[in-house]
Amino acid sequence: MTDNSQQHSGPTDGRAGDAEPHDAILDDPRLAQAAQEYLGELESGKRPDRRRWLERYPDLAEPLGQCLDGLELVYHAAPLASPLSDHPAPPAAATSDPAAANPLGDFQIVREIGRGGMGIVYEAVQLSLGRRVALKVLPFAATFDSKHLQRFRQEAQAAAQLHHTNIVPVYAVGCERGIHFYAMQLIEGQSLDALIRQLREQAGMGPLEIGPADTSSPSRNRAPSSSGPIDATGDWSPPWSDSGAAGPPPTDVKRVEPAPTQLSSHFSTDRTGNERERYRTIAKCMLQAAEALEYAHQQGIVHRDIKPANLLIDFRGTVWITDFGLAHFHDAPGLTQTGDILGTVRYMSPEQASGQRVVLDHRTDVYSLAATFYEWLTLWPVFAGRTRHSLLSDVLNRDPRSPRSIDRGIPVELEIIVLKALSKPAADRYASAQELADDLRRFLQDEPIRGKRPSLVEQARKWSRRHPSLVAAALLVMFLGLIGSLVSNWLITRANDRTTAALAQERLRAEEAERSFQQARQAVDFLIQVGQEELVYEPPPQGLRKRVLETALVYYQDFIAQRRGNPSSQTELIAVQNRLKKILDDLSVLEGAGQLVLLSEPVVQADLALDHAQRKRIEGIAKDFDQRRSEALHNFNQLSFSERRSRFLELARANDRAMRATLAQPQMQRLAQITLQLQGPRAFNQPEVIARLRLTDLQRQTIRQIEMDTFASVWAEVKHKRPPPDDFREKVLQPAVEKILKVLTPEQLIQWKELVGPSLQGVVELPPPGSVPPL
Amino acid sequence: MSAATTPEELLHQARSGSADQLGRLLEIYRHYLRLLARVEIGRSLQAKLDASDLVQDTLLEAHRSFPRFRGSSETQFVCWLRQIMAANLANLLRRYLGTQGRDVRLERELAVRLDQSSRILDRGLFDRGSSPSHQVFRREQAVLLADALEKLPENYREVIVLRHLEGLTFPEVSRRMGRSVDSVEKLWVRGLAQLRQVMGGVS
Repeated sequence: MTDNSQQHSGPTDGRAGDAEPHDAILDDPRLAQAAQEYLGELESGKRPDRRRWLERYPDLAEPLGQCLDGLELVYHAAPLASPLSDHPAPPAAATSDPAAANPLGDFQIVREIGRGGMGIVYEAVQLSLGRRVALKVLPFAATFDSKHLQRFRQEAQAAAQLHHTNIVPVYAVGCERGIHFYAMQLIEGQSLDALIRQLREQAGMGPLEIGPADTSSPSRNRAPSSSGPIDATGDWSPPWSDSGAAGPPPTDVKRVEPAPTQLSSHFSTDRTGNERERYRTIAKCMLQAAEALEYAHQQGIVHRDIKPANLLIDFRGTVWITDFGLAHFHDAPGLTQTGDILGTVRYMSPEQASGQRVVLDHRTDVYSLAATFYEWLTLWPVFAGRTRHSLLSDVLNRDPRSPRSIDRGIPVELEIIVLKALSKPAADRYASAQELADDLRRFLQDEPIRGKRPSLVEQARKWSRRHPSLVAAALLVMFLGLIGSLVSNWLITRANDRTTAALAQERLRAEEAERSFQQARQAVDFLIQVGQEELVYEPPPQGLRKRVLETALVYYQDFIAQRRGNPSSQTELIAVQNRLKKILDDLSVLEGAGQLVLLSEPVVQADLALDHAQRKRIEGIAKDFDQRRSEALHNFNQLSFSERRSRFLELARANDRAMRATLAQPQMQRLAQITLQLQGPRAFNQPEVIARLRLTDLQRQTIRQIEMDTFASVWAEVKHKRPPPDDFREKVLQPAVEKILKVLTPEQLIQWKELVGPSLQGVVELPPPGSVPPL
Repeated sequence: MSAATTPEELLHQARSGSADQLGRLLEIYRHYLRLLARVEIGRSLQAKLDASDLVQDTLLEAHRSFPRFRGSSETQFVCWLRQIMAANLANLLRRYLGTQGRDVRLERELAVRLDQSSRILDRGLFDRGSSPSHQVFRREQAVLLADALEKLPENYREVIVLRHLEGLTFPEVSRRMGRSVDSVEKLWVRGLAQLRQVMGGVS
């Protein structure tokens, strides 16, 4: 301050060199090196010895000294976003805190035992009862307006009503000398946060690597994570915090006694020990926590900030949840996101992370609990993002790594339970903490759990959510299409085997086929949904949408054909048929359009030897069709079912007439040939192909096998999130067809060649209009 | 801003009705607020929101609302300024979002930004000192730092702000500035050395 006036006399007019004798020296790379090392020390909370640095570079002592001075200035004046927070321990933490001298109401503070997201925790004595308590002093006294204060009291008092063996009891909520506090039972134990850190150390894993923005990871070292919040609110910390004494580095929240090693050895990851017992112990703790949450949820209280730091484990291995009713106040003005930001974001449910003001229900706790225990199981956070931004995005978009891929020893059931509870959509999680607890109990009693691995359909849904681009949708169409054919194969197999197989086996197969059918139907329904809802926004000419709906139609027709004459599924059939009708309405028009699309391909036009006039007319028809279709689709939602149907059919018929009028008979036939050529293995499922070739059952089985293999190879690609090769048709479909052709007899081959005619020369971008038979 | 008058004195005079002194008092914090505003608004929003406007709005608002300010120390005053700025920023963002309609990605981005800025606002340039007087010294230091940074050549300032205030690593700083890591480090060294000169012998 004394130099306040001097700042005006500083060299403002030039570069450093102008006023600096060591101009060239300043570019010595050792300077940057030394300054960075010095900064590194500062940032890791040490107090670097300036002299040592200067002695190391005697020839650079002067400029280095200036640099280090500048660095100290910046570093201490700007603790903003640099990865530090390890400034000298906050004095407010002092054991000789004046607060200790003056009781806060009924509470005499003994010593500070920790700092957490919501304030400082002291060990205190409740004078009237002479019992030891943990006293949490909330940092917002000065900034809270009365509305918030009232809300805080309501929440805290509601939380104080919770009485459960696994919830830290709140004894009192009060305000004294403008300081708000919260007295609760003193738990002799350790936070899960600290326990996990120790387990990591024991496992030789070292601290989690933390990025520069990550000032508050729960697992790096305790000083930053716990002192952060107080930095933020230093101004508002209790008026008696102006103590001159420097306190010890803050310890973990409510870590009361220095006996954690005992605990961590209890939960040790030591593989020589009873590993299975370790996982069971974790499951037992999770069960306790889930039941505590269920109890709180029943009382209408959602925690909203479940994380390792808020779970305490006492020396008997009992879990205690703490800080109920406080999470709301992270958002309070003047208290915004104090400190432990990443420590909180890491365990946030996607609905919390999305930042949308949705009402958070109890399932957010189910998620956060699972994220917490995922970390205990694997010793890795669900998402190890190094910045808040990347963490948020991971929570929203990335699926967690499967726990067993980190540690093979983790029981499958536990993995399924944790992953289910970590589902992104709340609806896919356990519906309640109780359901989660029930499954954990089943696991502990070696009963089958209810949670299941996500089905293919769910995976597809998740997958498409993560890859919302049109390319991804196209890929989806492709592999769902393959699933569909796979499933219809099942159905056909069932029909074929019915005559020969034993009854029991038949039933098994039937059940399997039924399941597959249901799954396929779901898949196709989803496909339809994509086609109807998502792809509406695709820019014209909506090629992808057509393909989606066409694919759906093909499989619906398969379903209908397969289910016909099965009286046991009449209602099913009717439902399917209704849906089919709707689709058919939409697609009767698209089918024709598909052929039109094919006809618009230069390659096809050349093959059919369309003359100039024909090409012109096709172009006109296509244009006309697009226009009429968009007219028909206009107000689509307002039209009645039959109106839609008649409009589409009319459109389709007009289209069909126009095409027939344009093309000569041989050209129409050739178009059918090309269509078959482009269908790949699926062509051999076409009724007219089967009839023409007179395929035997054995042949059809072999063909189905080839189809399945094709599917498997594509599926493997898709699973690895690789797009299918551009030359998908040549690389995948063509070889499959070749294999099938080897199965055929010479006579059948001749028939086939007649059916498909000479190969189409050139590349067609769009697929043929499916295997849609003419209406 | 003269060295003869401390902020507390100005505050006192302003409280007794001197509009002049209030103006002088507020002016002291302009650089400081702009530095914070800059960091808060963040790079992605800089095209849309102007830090100087935000600071201007904040100072105007502070001027208007000064009679409601109850504190007497500089600490309280600077906190109060920051609160006003945070509220202004929130309003700006809301207005921005309102006119743009809902854009979930942008909102998310903003939420993240806002969190960061409020964290910065909260932590501010306030460090704990071991004594009240030390605290005042620190705070003063923060405001001085902002002023001093203002005096550095732009390149130097940029490196220091990005590295120390936005918390970027040197490779990130180098990408941001479109320079090599090497040259960024050199700018940094020069910036630090000059900063010390600009601020005088304080250490």
